[in-house]
Amino acid sequence: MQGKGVTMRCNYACGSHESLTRRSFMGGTAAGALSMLGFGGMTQVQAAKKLAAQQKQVVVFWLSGGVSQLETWDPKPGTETGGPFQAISTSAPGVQISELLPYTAQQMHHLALVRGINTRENNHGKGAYIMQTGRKEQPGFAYPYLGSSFSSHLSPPDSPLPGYISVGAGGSSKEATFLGPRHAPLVLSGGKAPANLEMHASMTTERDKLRRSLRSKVSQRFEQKRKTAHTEVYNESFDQAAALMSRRDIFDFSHFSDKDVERYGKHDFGQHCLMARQLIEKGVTFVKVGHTNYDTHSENFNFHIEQLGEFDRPFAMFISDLYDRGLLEHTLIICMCEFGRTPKINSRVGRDHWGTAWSIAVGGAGIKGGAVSGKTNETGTQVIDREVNGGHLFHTYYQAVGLDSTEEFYPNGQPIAKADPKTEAIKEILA
Amino acid sequence: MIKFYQRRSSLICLQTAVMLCGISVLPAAEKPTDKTENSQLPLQAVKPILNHGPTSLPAALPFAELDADKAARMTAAQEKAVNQLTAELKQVEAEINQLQTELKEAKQKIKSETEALNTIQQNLKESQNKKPEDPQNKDQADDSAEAVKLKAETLSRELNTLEQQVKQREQSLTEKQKQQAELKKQAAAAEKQLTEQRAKANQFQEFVKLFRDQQPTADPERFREVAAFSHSRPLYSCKIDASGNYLLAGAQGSAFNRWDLVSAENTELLGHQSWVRRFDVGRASPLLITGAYEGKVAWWNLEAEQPKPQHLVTAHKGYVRAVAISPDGSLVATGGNDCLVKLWSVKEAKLIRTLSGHEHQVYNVKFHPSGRWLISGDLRGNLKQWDVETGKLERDFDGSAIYKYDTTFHGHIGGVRGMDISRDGKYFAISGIGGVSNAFAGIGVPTVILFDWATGKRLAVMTPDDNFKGTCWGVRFHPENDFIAAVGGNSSGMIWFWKLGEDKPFASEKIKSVPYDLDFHPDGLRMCVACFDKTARLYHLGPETPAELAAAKKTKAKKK
Repeated sequence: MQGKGVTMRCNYACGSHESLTRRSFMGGTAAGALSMLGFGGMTQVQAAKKLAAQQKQVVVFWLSGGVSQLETWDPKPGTETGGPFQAISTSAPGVQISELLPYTAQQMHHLALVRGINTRENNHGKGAYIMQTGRKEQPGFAYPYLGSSFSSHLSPPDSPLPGYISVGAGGSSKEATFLGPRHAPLVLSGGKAPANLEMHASMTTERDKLRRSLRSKVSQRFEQKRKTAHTEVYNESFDQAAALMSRRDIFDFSHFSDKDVERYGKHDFGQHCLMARQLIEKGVTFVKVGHTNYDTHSENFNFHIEQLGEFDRPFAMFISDLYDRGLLEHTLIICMCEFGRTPKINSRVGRDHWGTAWSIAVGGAGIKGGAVSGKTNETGTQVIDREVNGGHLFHTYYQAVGLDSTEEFYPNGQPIAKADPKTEAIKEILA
Repeated sequence: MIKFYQRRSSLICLQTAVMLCGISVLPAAEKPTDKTENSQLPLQAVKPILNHGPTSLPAALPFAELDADKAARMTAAQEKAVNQLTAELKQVEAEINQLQTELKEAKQKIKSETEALNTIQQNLKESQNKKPEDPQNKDQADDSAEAVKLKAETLSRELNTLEQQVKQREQSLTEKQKQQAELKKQAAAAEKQLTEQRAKANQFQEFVKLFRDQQPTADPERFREVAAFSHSRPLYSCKIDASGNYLLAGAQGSAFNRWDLVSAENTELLGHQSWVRRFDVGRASPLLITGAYEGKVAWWNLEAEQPKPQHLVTAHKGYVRAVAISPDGSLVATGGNDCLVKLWSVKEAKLIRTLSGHEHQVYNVKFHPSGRWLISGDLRGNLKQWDVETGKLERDFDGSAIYKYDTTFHGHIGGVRGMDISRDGKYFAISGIGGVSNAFAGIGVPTVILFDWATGKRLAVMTPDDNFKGTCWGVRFHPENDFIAAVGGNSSGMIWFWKLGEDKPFASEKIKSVPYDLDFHPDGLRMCVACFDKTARLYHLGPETPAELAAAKKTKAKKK
């Protein structure tokens, strides 16, 4: 059934999950087809280490609305644009970040900063598109989102697990574009497990098997005459649903220890980070965790105290835990948003949208911890060294997880570069 | 300066005495019950609030006299400075004339001596061409030639000396002319300043005359800007000290400003590392205590020429958002992002008591005029009344109308952004933003909530009379409870004036920029605001001087 899935995908997403994965995945995918079974009896750390040796994974922390670079990764204390906060030293020598991130500061040796981003885009939707596809929006063509791309490239082909799960960050089936519905995000709405994972009480295993067999036969008969992408989507949905039901254990979020809940916080974001940790431990390829909201046109500083006060500790705990469990070196972490915020403080004591000179943080797999790329001027209004855009970032993400970012997709036979060919990876932050 | 402050302080005592006397001579039944009274009298809720007319402000005259005296002294000093500059300029001009004369003479001498030298040299040349053959004549001719040569050499040396002197004098002349130009510039500037100071002094004098003729009252209908003070960053907090000497303002930067209200001279107070949103001044001493967003509280001598922090204390984890000095000047209360209220001894800058109970950032603290109570307000509009002596929580008040959790943006918006207690201690008011429809754009209704101190009941929710949206950043009772003033804005700035207990303002003014704070001058006639456009503005609510009226008439005519 799963092998069939690979063949079918090739028909409309040519370039193929299978061939691309085999060709470009450089992180030991020989074991990719192995199921997650066989970890029984291992300790959590052992299981995690075994998993890490097999697979690269990615976690995106999406700070919705656009977090201020001046209150996070590129502080300018004492300047006209710097706001009221001070900069603090971190575990990375010579690297300072805002005092609003004291816990993250202790993990900076695992993170690299990109301080020279200029996406030239101040619109929420368009900025989000650039940061999640590596391209500017173009009429008539849609690039796949980061989660769908990495699900396509990094997920073991026969894995019963969804390749892309979004926790508290929303998501749309459109993100997968030509990569197909298998790589669309599974959105855990409200941070909850998908509904109806348990088999209905009135259904026995035997009856379910018979039911599936009948559906499959009817479907095959139908496809002999009228095979379309839609029929494949339907078939795949049934397959995915069955796979999810068989691995419903990954969505059992009821066993976090009191200590973990205390460390991560009882708020939604803390819980979502714990969920993401579990999903990564269980082998999900790409997890997107959302934290909202940073669109602080008014009272920027109060809201950043509040939002970053919630974000800082669980984010730092997540990095620390992944490191302790041996997962960090195989998991790329990206903390980003649609744009930064204006250096100029407005009359509402807020900051507005700013795509001209802003920052993100990346860490983990393939990243040189403590590295800093790019520089902005004294007041943060311009990039003065190593300007990069979404294309550079995409090349960097790809290469960090061992993929060749210069390869192409072939939807409908047309070559589509995976990352903008006019740009290249930010080598100075790659390990 | 200290003496001047003492004079000012005695003026405040006089003001209080006038107030107290007024109370003592009136029979109890005739007392205007909503007027300012001695804060030590028993607290009593007054309902309904009487809508009294404008109160005469006897303290305005002595304040105006002091301003006029100060302006006159400054004008005199400026006149002296102008005279000094004029004298210096005259001296330099005389020196220039002298130099020019000497140069002229020297140049003439050079000319005549050059001609003489040329003649000698010509003669010498001719005599050498006609050498006599007779040996005796030849000897005589040689001697004569030798003498001429000597004369020529002497003349030549003299000429050299003269030319050097001319050069030196020319150099001196250039320097003196530069000095003259500089002095002219200085004199013109000083003259201009003197003209302005004279005008200002005349204005103060006119106010004195006006207030001598009739005790003034404050009327927001006469609201007008009378002075503006600029800084390099948006201004974030302001107050006028009890002596009425200074306009003080914190900024979105670490420098704190002290402007002399009469001379407009600015002194920057340096010591904090972050923004000063709240500070307070002593009522009877030149004490200033500032609290900044880096978490520190600083003590300053307001009258020092260049004040330096006398104490700099780490008071709160996170922002210090609230600072208030007790009426007797012995305590200072602070509040901050660590959700704590702290009481400190002013004298020793030592922590006396920590008041725990708020669950959210403390935005404002204020002592009741009796000194017995302290009130604090937080992000969620929770208000707490504390017993200063015991630290016991006495009461909670509900100000949650100026707070909201925005479920769209997942953020807490609002809080007690402004707070004040009336001088008689009968009312207190808080301000902020209510009815929020979009937290992250600051879209809501600027709101003031008036409470009755005795009962703790809400007396009024005061909002603008139009559809204006924004935050009400600050609120103040007029010293005589004639009205409540509040400031706020969003992208534009407003000042509103409400009668106590009324929901809608009886006057409102759009101002040049968004104001974040306000305060009344102790004369009750003037008020200041701290604005986003890096400017602190002083407004007058008292009667206009003849000069002001004439200027207004001229402006009106021009517009027509």
